[in-house]
Amino acid sequence: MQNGRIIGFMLNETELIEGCIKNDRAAQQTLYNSYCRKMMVVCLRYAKGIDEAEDILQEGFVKVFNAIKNFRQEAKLETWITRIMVNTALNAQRKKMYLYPMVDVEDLHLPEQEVSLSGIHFKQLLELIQSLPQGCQVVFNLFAIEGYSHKEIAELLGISEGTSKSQFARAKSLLQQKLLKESTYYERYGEGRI
Amino acid sequence: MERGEFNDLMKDAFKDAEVTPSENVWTNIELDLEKADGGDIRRRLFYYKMVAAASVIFALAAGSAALYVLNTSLRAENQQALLTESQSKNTTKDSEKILEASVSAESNSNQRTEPMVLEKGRGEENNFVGNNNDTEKRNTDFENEGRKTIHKSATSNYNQTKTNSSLASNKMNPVNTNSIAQEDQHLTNQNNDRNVNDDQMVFQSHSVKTLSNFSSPKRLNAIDIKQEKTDVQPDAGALLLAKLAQREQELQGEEKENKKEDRSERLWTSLGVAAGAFSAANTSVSPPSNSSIGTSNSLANNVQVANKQAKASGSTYSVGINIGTKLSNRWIIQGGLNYMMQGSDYTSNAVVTSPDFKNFGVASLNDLARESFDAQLVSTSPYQVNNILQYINVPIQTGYILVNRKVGVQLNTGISTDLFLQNTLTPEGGNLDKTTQGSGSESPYRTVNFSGLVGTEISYKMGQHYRIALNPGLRYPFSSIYKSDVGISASPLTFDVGLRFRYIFR
Repeated sequence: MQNGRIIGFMLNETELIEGCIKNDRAAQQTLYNSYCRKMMVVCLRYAKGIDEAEDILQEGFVKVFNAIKNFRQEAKLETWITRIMVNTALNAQRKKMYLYPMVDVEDLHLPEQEVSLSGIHFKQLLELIQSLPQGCQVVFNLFAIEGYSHKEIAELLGISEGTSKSQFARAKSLLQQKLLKESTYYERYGEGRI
Repeated sequence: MERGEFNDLMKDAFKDAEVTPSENVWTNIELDLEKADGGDIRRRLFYYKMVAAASVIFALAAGSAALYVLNTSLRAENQQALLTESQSKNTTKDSEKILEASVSAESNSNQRTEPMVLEKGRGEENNFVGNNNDTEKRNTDFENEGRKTIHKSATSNYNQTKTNSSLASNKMNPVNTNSIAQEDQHLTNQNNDRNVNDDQMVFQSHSVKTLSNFSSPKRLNAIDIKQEKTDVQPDAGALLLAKLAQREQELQGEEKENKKEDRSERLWTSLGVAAGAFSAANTSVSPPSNSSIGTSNSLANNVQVANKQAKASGSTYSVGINIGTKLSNRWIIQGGLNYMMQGSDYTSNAVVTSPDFKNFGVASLNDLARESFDAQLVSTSPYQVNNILQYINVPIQTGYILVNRKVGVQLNTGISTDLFLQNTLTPEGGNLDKTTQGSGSESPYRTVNFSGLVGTEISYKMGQHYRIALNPGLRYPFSSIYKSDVGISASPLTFDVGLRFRYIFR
C-alpha cells in the first residue's frame, strides 16, 4: 500500500501502463520491479560487467517511462521493453565498436564435437558471452538470442552482412571452444564449481 | 545462415533467466525521472504563463472593445438628443401656431377639434386634422418655416426650447372653444412651475448621462480584479521552481497531490454573480408597414422613440447556479440556471397619452408595438428613462481545460436559452408612473431566445472541495431580442465578468 492506493500485482498491465503514462511514480516502480530482473539479463548479455549492465538498465528504463505513452499494446509489453533495452545497449556498444572495429574473420576453428548446453547455468553462459570480443558479443546476441537476421544486424550496426556473418561464426566458435573446455572440466571435476 | 540447434539452446537458456539489479538502479532512475519532470514543469509553467497572459489580453481586448462600442453609441445618443431638442423647439413653434390656427378655425366653425399629434418638417405626415382649408394651408406654411429654422434652433437657447416645448405639450389638449380661454389661463399659471420641473428634468438627464459615461470604470475595475488574480500566478510558479530546485522529495509529493486532484474533480456545483456591460450599437430600426410603429400616423416620432429605447446600451448583472462534470481529462460540460438583469438609460422626448389626453405615460416600444395601441404620442421636453429587462437564462457550455492545477484555466463555449420575464420602464423626474410589462403577445420582446456564449475561466483551488473562479465572457443573441413583427433588429453584445464559488463533490 502506498499513498493510500494498492499497487503492485493487484494492478493489471493496462492500469500499470496508464499509471506510467500519468507519471505515477508508484506505477513506474511497479513496472520496474516486474521487469527489471529479466531486463538485467538482457543488459548483462551486451555488457562486459554488472556496472555497465546496470547503467544500460537505468538508461533503458528511463527511456521506457518517457516513451510508454507511445506504446500501442500491439506487442507484449515485455517484448517492447526488451527492444528498448537492446537498442539502449547497442547505442552504448556502438561507441565502443569504433574503438574495436569489426573485421571479417577468415580462419575459424570450429570444434568437431557438438557442444551441449545442458547442465550449464545461464550465469556461466553470461560470463562466456561477456568474454567475447565486443563486436562478436553484439552480433551473437542479436542473431542467436534476439533473432535478428544478418541483414537487419548489418543495418543496425552499420556493417556489411558478410561481417555480421563472420562475426557470428567467430562468436559461436569461441563459445563452443569455451563450452567444450568447461564440459571437459565438469567431466573431470564435477559441477561443484558452478 | 540457418538458425541451428545451438542458437535455440542459447535462447532457451536465457528464457526464464533473471538477475536482480542493485537497489541503486531504481534510485537513479527515479532521480532521472525527477530531473525530466523538473524540465517538463518549467516548460509547463512557461506555457501556463503564456495562457494566463493570453486570457488577460483577451479579457482586456474584449472589455476595451465593449467600452469603445458603448462610448460610441452614447456619443451618438448625446448628439441625437441635441438634435431632438432643437427639433422639439421647432415642433413647439409649429404646434403653437397650429394650435392658434386650430383655435381660430374652431372658433369660426364652433366645432370640437380632433386630437392631434405634432410632426415637424414633413408635409406628407400631416399632423393637423381639420376641415378648414385655410388652416391646412397655414399648417403647411408653418412646417416649411419650421424646416428652415432647424439649424438655427440647434444653436438656440436651450432653456427657451424647453419652455416652448413645455408650453406646447400643455397646449395640445383637445379643447372646447368655450373652455380654451380657461384652459390657457390655467396652463399659463402652471407654466412657471412646469418650467422649473423641466429644468430639473434636464439637469437630471445630463447628470445621468454623465454618470453613464463614467460607467466604464466599473468594467475596468472588473478587469483589474482579473488582472490582480492572474498576477498571482508567476509567484506560485516561482515558488514551485524554488521547491523543485531545493527539495525534490517535496516536489514529488506535490506532483502526487496534483494527480490526485485531477482524479478527484469530476462533479461540481457553483454559485456565481456577474457584472458587465452590453452594447446595442448594432441595432437597426426599420418598422415594416404592418407594424404598429410603421402604421401610426406619427412615424418619425415613433421611430425616434424606438431608436432611443432599442439602441440604449447599459449594464448587466446576473446571479445563478451551475453544475458541471468532466467528460474526459480535458473536456467538461456544465449547465445551470441564471437570473439576468439588463438595465439601460435613454432620453425620451415624448409621452403617450390616452385619446382623451387625461393620462400620460412613458413613450415606449411596449405601447408602440401593441396592436391595440390607440393612444397618441406627444412631444415633451427630454426626460430620462431607465429600462430594465429581466431574463431567466439556462446556459449549457462545454469547456476545455488548458490548465488543471491549483490554478486552473479553462475555455468555455456554449448556448443559452434566454426566457424573457419582464421589462420595467422607470421615468426619472417624478411626473410619470413606472410601468412594467411581462412577456406575452403584448410585449415587443421575444419570450424565448437563444444566445451564444464564449468565455474563459481562471480558477484557484482553495481546498479539497472549493474553487473560486473568475469568468470573463461574451454573450451574443443569435436572433433579435425583439419580435420580428416589431421591425427592430437588436442583438446586444454583452461582456461580463463573473465570480463563481465552486463546490467539488468528488
